[in-house]
Amino acid sequence: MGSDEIIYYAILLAGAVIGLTQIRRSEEAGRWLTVLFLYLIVKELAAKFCAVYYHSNLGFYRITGIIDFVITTFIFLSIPVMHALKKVIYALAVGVILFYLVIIIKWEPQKGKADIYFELVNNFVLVCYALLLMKRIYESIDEESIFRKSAFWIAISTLLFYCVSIVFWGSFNYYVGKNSAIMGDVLTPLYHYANYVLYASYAVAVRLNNFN
Amino acid sequence: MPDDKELQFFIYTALTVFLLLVGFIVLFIRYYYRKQLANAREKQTMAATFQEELLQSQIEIQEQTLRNISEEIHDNIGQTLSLAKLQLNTINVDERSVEKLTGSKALVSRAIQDLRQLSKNIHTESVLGSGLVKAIAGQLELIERTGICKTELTVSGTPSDINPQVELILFRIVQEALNNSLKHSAAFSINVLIKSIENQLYISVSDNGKGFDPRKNGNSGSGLRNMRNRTKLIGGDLNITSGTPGTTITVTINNE
Repeated sequence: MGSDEIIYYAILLAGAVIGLTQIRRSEEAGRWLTVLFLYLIVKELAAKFCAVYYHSNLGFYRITGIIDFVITTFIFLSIPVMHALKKVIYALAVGVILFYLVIIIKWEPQKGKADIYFELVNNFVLVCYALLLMKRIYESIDEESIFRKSAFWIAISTLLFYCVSIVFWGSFNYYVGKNSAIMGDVLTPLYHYANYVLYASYAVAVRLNNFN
Repeated sequence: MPDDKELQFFIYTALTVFLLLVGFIVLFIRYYYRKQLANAREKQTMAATFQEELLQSQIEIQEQTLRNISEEIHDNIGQTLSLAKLQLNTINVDERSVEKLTGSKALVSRAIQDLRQLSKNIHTESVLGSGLVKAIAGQLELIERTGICKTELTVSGTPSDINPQVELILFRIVQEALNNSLKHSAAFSINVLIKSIENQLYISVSDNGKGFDPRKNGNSGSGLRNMRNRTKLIGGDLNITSGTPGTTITVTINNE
């Protein structure tokens, strides 16, 4: 296990432990975040198992991608300020799920190439969620510091990570096909760091437990 | 494109996108705090307006109550006493009771006179009609008549164009200050100074009594609280200095 993986698991574990220790007094969004942390730990361990025994986990990630999206959608739906935009979130989520089903049924990825279309659409919709959440935070302003709000940490980290993710998946097949060093030296570390920031911010959001 | 040039291009592009994102978040936080500040200010203004309206209605209610009492004194108690005096005048008594009857008549006359003065003092229109300086002079004259202490009124400049509502509130503040001096200070001299300079009007009420500690007693009495509230309502400043001997209460307003 490399240092990158250790940091990643440590962040997920920290988020899960924080979530579990305060689960009784947690708000709904905090509980969904805890579910996400637990699910990610199990998912990453299972993906590691697939990589070792089947020498590829692309198929596994293809299946779990939609679960990540659905849990994230529930997190956004359970944030009180987003209740006013429930219909928009539902419409976007249904669109993504339908697109996923079409991709799964109709499109067979080429060997060695990742299924970037679903990732791009899914990431784009998550960026929309983040921007909508920022809009709602701005509209429902109160006297509290923005840094004490869980919703703020969720919004900015989601925005940052999924923008990086769009760049990552948008150029993935191109750079992998060219066997370019950019993928290994720049894009992958950048993606990992953005991932750490995302889940560390989610852990902060769980800890603050202030979603109103 | 060679790999290193491609890498350079990629890094610049990624950096630009990243900086734009960070800039967007920083701007978001900045605008959030700006809006938060504007909201807080608006809330403060609303609270101040509400407080002012509340004070205004309290004072209106007080004035209405005083007007009712004044009318009641004038129309009811005054009439009853006048009738009692008339009846006393018609009684024929023997020589032994003449002295008692004359005393009673004098007492009733005095009561009628005092009640009329009281009715006049608390009646809003009566205060507004005579003007601030005259109304204050009348109050000092009443104090003089009691023989409890000497009074002096100094007027410097001509306080003109004062809003009648402001005039009434200023009169009530002076009335309260004079009452406090009489009730608590054991003073034998009270001076009132009315000074008008350009757009500012100063009114001070000073006595040579035993004084008090404004820090200890400044917020406890309803009289002082009333004075503060009334001054706040007309956008003025109330200053209380007290020592041994004497207390000075100064009200300053901008009369624009």
